[in-house]
Amino acid sequence: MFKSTTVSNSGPATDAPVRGRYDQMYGTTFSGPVQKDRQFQDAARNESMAKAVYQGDPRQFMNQMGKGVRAGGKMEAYRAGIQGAAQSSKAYAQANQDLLNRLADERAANLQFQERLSGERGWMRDLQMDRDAVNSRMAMNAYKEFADVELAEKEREAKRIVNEANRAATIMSALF
Amino acid sequence: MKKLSPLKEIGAIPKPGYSNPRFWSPSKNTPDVPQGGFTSIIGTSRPLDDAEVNRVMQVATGPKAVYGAVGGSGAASTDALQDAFAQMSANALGSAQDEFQTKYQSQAQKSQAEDILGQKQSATDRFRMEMGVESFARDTWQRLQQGYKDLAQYAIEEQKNASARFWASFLGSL
Repeated sequence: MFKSTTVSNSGPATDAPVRGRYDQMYGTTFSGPVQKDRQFQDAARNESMAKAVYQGDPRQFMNQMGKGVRAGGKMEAYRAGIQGAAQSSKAYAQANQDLLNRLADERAANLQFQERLSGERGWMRDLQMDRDAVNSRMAMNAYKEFADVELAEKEREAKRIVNEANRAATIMSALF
Repeated sequence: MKKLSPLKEIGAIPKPGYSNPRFWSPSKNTPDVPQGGFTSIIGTSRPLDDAEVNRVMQVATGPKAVYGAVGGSGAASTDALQDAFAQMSANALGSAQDEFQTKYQSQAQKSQAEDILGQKQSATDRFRMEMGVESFARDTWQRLQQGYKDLAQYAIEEQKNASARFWASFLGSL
């Protein structure tokens, strides 16, 4: 038998126990939470804030019925103010909704990563357990083999001793 | 006629998990627990802290109407409307974040429990394997010892038989 010279990280290179030693075979693969593009999310929020300010400006809802900048009646100004406030509030709420979405997405991604890593670690533990169970069976076989061989050898030895005694008795009986 | 001496009374089997000086006992009776106990990488704390919740719920009030409504006709009701919108939004966002946090925590707790349960399962599997090996080793060792004693006795007895046959033959020939 010869020892393979192939470099492998999937098993012990020596007979040293591998328990507790880092082994790529049973390493995990998840590198970190998969996050949405934060810059993009922040841009969306900024956009919503800008919209809120813009949409809050009631002048855009006013019809220019009269002359000049202050054209229009009071009732129209009131109506435009209501509309502006409604639009603006929606956009501000949307901006904060964007913030909540971003924070929630980040945290959810973290949790998902933790769950997946934990799951993979569980599988790796199972695999290590399988490996150790196989090694245990091999050790048990080796131990049993030693006992069987030793017992068989002693049985042959006992038979030799008994046969020798029988032969000696037979010969001695014939002599005397 | 000689008879075999009576058997030793074997008595009751040891209570599982307890050692009994009359019998061989395994090296341990419970799975190994890691130093510091079982831990999980899954955190169960609330995902958003107070500052983040405040930021989420702090909905800005829209700019006041630039014309007419400022101190003019209907200004109070416009302001009230704006406040109502802001408060409603803050309330809705507060409920949303609270629901998210609650669902997150209940999911995290479930996952953490599964994680730790999995580790305990593995520890128990390993315990079963180690005890199986230990039991097998003890059986094999005992089989070897007793087998050897059988053979040693067999060899001695048969030598005595052979000697007896010789002496019987010798004495008979006189």
